[in-house]
Amino acid sequence: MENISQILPLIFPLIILQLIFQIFTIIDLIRRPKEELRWENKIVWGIIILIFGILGPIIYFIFGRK
Amino acid sequence: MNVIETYNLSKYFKEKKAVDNLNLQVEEGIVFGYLGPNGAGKTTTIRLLLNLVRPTRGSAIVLGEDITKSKNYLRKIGFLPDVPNFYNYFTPREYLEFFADILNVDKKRIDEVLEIVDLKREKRRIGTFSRGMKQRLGIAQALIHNPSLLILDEPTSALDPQGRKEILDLILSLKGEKTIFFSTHILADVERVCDRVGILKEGKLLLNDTIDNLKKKYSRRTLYIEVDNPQKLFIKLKEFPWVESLSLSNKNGILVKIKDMSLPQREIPRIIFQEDLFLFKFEFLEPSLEDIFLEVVS
Amino acid sequence: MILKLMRKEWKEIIKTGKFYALLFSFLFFAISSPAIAKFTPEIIKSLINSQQTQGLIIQIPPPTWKDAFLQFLKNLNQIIFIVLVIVFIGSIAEEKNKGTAIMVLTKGIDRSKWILSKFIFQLLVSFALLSISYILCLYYTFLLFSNFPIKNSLFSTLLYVIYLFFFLSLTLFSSSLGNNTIQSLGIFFGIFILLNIFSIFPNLNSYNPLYLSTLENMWITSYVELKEALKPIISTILLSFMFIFLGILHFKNQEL
Repeated sequence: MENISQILPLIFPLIILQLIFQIFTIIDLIRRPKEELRWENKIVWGIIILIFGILGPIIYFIFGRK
Repeated sequence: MNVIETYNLSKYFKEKKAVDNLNLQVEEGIVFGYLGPNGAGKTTTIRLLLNLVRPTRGSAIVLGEDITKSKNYLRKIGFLPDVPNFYNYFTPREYLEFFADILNVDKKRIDEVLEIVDLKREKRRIGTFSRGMKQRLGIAQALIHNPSLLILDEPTSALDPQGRKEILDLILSLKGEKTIFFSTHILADVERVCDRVGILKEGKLLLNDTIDNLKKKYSRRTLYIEVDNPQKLFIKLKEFPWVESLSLSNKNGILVKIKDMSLPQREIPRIIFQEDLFLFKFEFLEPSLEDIFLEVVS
Repeated sequence: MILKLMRKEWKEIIKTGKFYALLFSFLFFAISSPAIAKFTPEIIKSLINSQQTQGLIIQIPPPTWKDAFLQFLKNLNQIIFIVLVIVFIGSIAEEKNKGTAIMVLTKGIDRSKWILSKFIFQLLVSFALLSISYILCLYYTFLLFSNFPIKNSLFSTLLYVIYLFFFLSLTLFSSSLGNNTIQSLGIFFGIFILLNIFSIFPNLNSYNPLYLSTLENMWITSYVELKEALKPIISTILLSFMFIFLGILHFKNQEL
């Protein structure tokens, strides 16, 4: 277990970076009119952005808009 | 001077001859209505003129340049396709700024054209626009570089009556300033704004004339006569070779279609006189463009 | 003219958000690659320890900067490669498909300039992001492994630049031939699979652009003789120019 606690602070920048990307993407999602989104569904996109880690924002920015 | 001249211009696709030996002249400064049923080859003609497709045969001179040799003439053409598509992520202003930039047009012109099409205060992205708004923006982008020739492909066909009126008013307001070549299958539009029409069917040009001439040429061929006993006149007229068809209409009227107009004008009064009929009405009917169109196309 | 057209491409990828997809991929994998290389063995170790398997002796060699850069190259050749292709492949085909291209081209804009502006733009954006990503990866590798392997990693990344040039040329070619994104992707990966099949033949292999990715790894693990690298570099560049030339030629004669 002590190993894990050693690892965490070092892996921290990665988690922070991913969080920043996800927050940035969620803000874009919230501000964008629903009509501009594929499937016109903010909830679905919100879930995609949050659960797929770094891939969520990437998928959103490639395929999210009509 | 002619702005467009085509010489046996032809475009054959595998399955059909879209444009076949087209010889078309469009004079400078007029509004030319390019009329034809759907699939007649109107859009293909326009694509040929704009260098989007290459002719199978023949050639064309547009604005003094041979279109198979040069592309400079395109700079002096404004084009609106039948279904215009834009970069949806831009606002109208940003979209026009892009064209002003690549065509070295003064930025002031953007305001001018936005004013013309009434989109000056529109801040939304083009992706959210209605069909009518897109059509107006389409005209704005066609005007941005102040072209001398406007080519509009079916500018009114997908619009509601209000949108149609706006576009036609726009065309009317540009009349005289620019040569306008527009294709349509809506006759009422042609009648409202055009000086000349060309009628196309199955890739062939059937006629090219002014609207006035057309009406003159085709009008004198239908007579409406009212007498007290139309049946009697009907039987008499049937015998004459210059009568093409006859039909009774109303209570006292007869519609007479004639092959040429000189003889009937002298002979019909004589018949009425001989048969001792009362003449109530004798009239040459003005045909609508629709009648002419149907007659030419069939 | 090309510069002005490129400005529109820039506005496009910003306004459509595609730029962020690229930026996130390049930044994230620059940092994650060294991190994963560093921590994977430790995580395995801690898992083993926590499962009370003291009796087992498992030898895991300590990771080095080499693992970090191998991981980075792997990401560049897989996920970043795919993101780049998907973002850029529609640029010509979709404009043809949607009819936005004719609005520009019927105003007398030269077709080659139009297509080249897109290609040069894609090249510049990819190159800029790759440079940032490389520096970031280098820095993070230094933090985790106390090693700053400039020479090997730089040569390896330069080989990737040539490879990038190649697959962007192939993207242009596919986008010029295809009538929409899906068709273009089909053409792209069709040719890509063909190159993979060709790499079976050992005497052709050294001319294959895909061989560059093997060389990239070799530059990290050991080093590469210049003579050996020259063949694939030259043939890749020649192939790239061929695809650019054919793509433009096809587009110039295409009926829109």
